[in-house]
Amino acid sequence: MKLTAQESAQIDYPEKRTLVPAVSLAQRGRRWWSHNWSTLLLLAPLLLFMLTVFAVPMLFQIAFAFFERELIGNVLWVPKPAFNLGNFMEAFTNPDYRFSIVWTIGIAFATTTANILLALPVAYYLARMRVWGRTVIELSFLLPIFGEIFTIYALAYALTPQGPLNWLLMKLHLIQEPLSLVGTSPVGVIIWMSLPTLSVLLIRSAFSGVDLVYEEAAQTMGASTLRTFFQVTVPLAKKGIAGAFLLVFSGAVGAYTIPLILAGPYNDWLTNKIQREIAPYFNYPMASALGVILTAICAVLFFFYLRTQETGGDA
Amino acid sequence: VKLSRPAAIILNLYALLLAAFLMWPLLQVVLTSFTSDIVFPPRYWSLNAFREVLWPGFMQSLYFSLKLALAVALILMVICLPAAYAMERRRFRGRALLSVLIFVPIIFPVVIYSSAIRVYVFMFYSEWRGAFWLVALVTAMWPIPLVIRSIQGSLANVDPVYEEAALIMGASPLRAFLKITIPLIAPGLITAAMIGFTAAATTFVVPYILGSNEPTVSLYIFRDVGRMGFPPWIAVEVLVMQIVVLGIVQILYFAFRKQFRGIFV
Repeated sequence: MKLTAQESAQIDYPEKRTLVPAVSLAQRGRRWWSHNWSTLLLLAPLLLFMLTVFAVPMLFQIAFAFFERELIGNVLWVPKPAFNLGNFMEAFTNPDYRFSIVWTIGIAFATTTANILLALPVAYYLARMRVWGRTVIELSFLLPIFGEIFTIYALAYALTPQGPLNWLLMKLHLIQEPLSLVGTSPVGVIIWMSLPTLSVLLIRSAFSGVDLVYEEAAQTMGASTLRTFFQVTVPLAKKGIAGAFLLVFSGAVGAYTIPLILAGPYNDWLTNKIQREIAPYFNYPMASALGVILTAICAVLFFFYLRTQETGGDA
Repeated sequence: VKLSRPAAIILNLYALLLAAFLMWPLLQVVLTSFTSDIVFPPRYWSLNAFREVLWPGFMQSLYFSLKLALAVALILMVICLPAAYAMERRRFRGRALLSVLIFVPIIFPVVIYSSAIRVYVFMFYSEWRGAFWLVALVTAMWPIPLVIRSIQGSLANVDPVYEEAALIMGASPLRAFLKITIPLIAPGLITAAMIGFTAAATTFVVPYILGSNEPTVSLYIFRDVGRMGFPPWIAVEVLVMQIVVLGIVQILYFAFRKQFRGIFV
């Protein structure tokens, strides 16, 4: 029996059916599992850890932010479920909290900008040139990251009224009387936050990722060194620089130890305020609300960080 | 890029100046310790400050810090080694996302999650407050990205063919990993462990907020500062802590400089 092509196409051959695999959801799940179970097992400790130490406490914090506190027996403040926005209203209307939020973000922004601007030339120099004393320079940028606590105490000695910075400024006749930079004034903290450490290393690796060819091309066509740097190198390393900015900014927003030790326990930084709400005042709901605000700021930063890192690039 | 010679010299001087400014506080601690004087052009040399430290309590806290650091380094190895291996050698959906998600502990401030943990632990599980294992677990959070990145960096430098060869010759995946890959990445692993160790040995925020039962060395110094301000003998305490903790790291930095660079590249 002969069939025309059209008739043949209409017949439902078994082989034809198997071309379109009918796989149920359960089968697909099983297949995915058999491909991925070992990877999942390898990642399980990390994911579990992140969940218990980070995600769950954060959820609790968000829940607590909507609580109220209640005085029991005139001795104990106990959080009580309320589910209103009272704490957030308080955070944005009470001038004390409002100032603290503005102060934290403002100082973080100013110091981070200074930090990145100071870091750019050094990072470029370390990435491209033969440097005299490279080991010492690199080590000095690495030390404060891992030994921040030493540097903070050391800074407290270096910035006292009798210390070397004041001595130097007096000798140069820039000031008449020693400035008090630590203890109660925030100047020491601001100086320290503006100094580039981590940012130099991050930006350096961003600059290393920029191919020399582009710079050479710009220079052959007659651009000056400065112009090459600002119009070719910096735009090409933009993602790395933005990433460094966000990391340093989030570090400055979340700085706790530096203000505590250098500016005294009653400073205006939001992190310290949160801690004060917990420790002497037992106002857990308010502390949680302020914590949620700070977390929200960091979440915005993290979102931008994701954007700078996700879409590839050399960063 | 061609820089004129004066420009290069100026840039180098700038780099050295910045380095000096970052190193100088550390030198200041040495100076204060050995002069027992907080005035800058030192008026005399004296070791009095060394005598004023309460050594037994201080050494106790130093010992506790090192114990905590060791525990944290172990926790970090358990968490980060398998994760770094999966992220470097396996292809799976969400890998790019995960490699950014591990930066969560650095982007979100330590104060935030540790005070969140404090609030809910103190309210519901008050018997856990200040427990050693709780402090160790929370301290292990911050260094995760650095440790994972450094292990990943050393894994990337090792050719997977050696492991595949072992697998083809009939070794089980676990055996191949333990006998082939681990020895190859050993220097990187040591560096990674040292990063976790240092971060934990110098940690202040987590034990302070969680109210650690025993003080770590940074907490001990902080309490002294709270009572006394900044007398010269606190510089001695900082110096001793620095020599003990950073000494290890500085030696390892020079020994394994190549792996250390890998973290940020």
